[in-house]
Amino acid sequence: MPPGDQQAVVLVLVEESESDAELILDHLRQAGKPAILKRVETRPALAAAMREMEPDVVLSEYALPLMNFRDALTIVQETRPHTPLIVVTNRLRTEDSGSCVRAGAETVIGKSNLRRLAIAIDQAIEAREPLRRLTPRQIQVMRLATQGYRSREIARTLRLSEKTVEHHRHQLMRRLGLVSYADLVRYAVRVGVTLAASTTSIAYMLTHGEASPIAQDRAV
Amino acid sequence: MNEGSEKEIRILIADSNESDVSKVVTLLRDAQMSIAVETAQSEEGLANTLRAFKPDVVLSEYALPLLDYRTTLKVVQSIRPGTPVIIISGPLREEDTGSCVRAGAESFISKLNMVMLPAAIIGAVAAREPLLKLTSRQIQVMRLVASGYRTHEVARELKLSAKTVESHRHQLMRKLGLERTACLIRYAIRVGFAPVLTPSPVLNRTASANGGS
Repeated sequence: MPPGDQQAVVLVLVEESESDAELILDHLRQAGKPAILKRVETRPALAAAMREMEPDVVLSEYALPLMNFRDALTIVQETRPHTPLIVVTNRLRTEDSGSCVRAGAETVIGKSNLRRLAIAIDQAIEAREPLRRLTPRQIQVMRLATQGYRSREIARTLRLSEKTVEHHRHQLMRRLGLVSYADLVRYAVRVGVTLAASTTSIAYMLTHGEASPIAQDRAV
Repeated sequence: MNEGSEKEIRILIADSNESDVSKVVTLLRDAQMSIAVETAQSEEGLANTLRAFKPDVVLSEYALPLLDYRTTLKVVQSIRPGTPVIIISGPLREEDTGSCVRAGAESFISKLNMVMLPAAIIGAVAAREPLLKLTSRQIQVMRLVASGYRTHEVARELKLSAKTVESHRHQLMRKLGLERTACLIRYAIRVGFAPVLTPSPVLNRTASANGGS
């Protein structure tokens, strides 16, 4: 355990290179942000690390042999949806960084530009401060409501009464300090609970269900 | 996607470095894109070119001597709202992709690795194609609805009757193929008509107070 353990930020890193993990830790230490870091390379290992480490932030390479950042996002949203994911990579060859953000990543940081990382981590955590006031159930309701499902449909999906769903909706708005539905959707997109997307992607997601919230909104 | 046969894409490049501009143009022509290009170096030049050239996409250097990207975004939003702004910059910068996108940019491309630029431009244009089906009035209504205005507030803002606003709203959602308000807002955010909501300290404080800690 590093000294100053109380303030250390807990990270899970989806990465195959041990030396890149060291590089990231070095940069954070220099920025006055000591970190505890667990490195994983597979989906089961990430899911386990989410439970065991309860990380503040997940960092992920764009793509590893066995998983990519979208797989990581799916697991993060399923296990601890208030956790931000930052893509840390020098290998954006098949997609631009804006598209990664629209897929639900907080941001994209180049491994050769790691001095932005400490600030990005702080901003990511700060933006989710309100989200951490919600129960897992309330986040589920928030996700479905901001994807476009009506209370009746949410009730059916979650096997709750419509009245209970309405109650959750009321509670979560109050806890987030929001009054309008538009603001709820705009905040949900900010924290990756819901995605901004093109009309074709949205229509596809609604008809095929968004069991996984992380649909691909590439160039379409 | 069949880039070569698509119609010409009009690109406004806000960059004062001629060699960088020609690099971008060469890259896009090499990608078989049919493009028309104009450049601007100042806020005034940008505003004039937006009006006269009516670009499909704006490519902006992160910080020009006379024009930074936030000013570019502001000018584009006021003159040609919905036009995508892709930031192209060297690695030395004060912000990351996430904060640029949340400020309203479509994407961020590094000058050191521009390989994804053609796809980013094509994606940006494609995502906005459905907007071509809307009248300018419908786009006004869409922007206000996505920003949280209720029907009567939209009506007051645009000096229309509530019934007319409802009709515009119904029509525009039908044209976009979107049935739910949440979907309209998600799409509005996608095309830069509404920003995401970043919690302010005020928002945090209000909710904490309501929580009665």
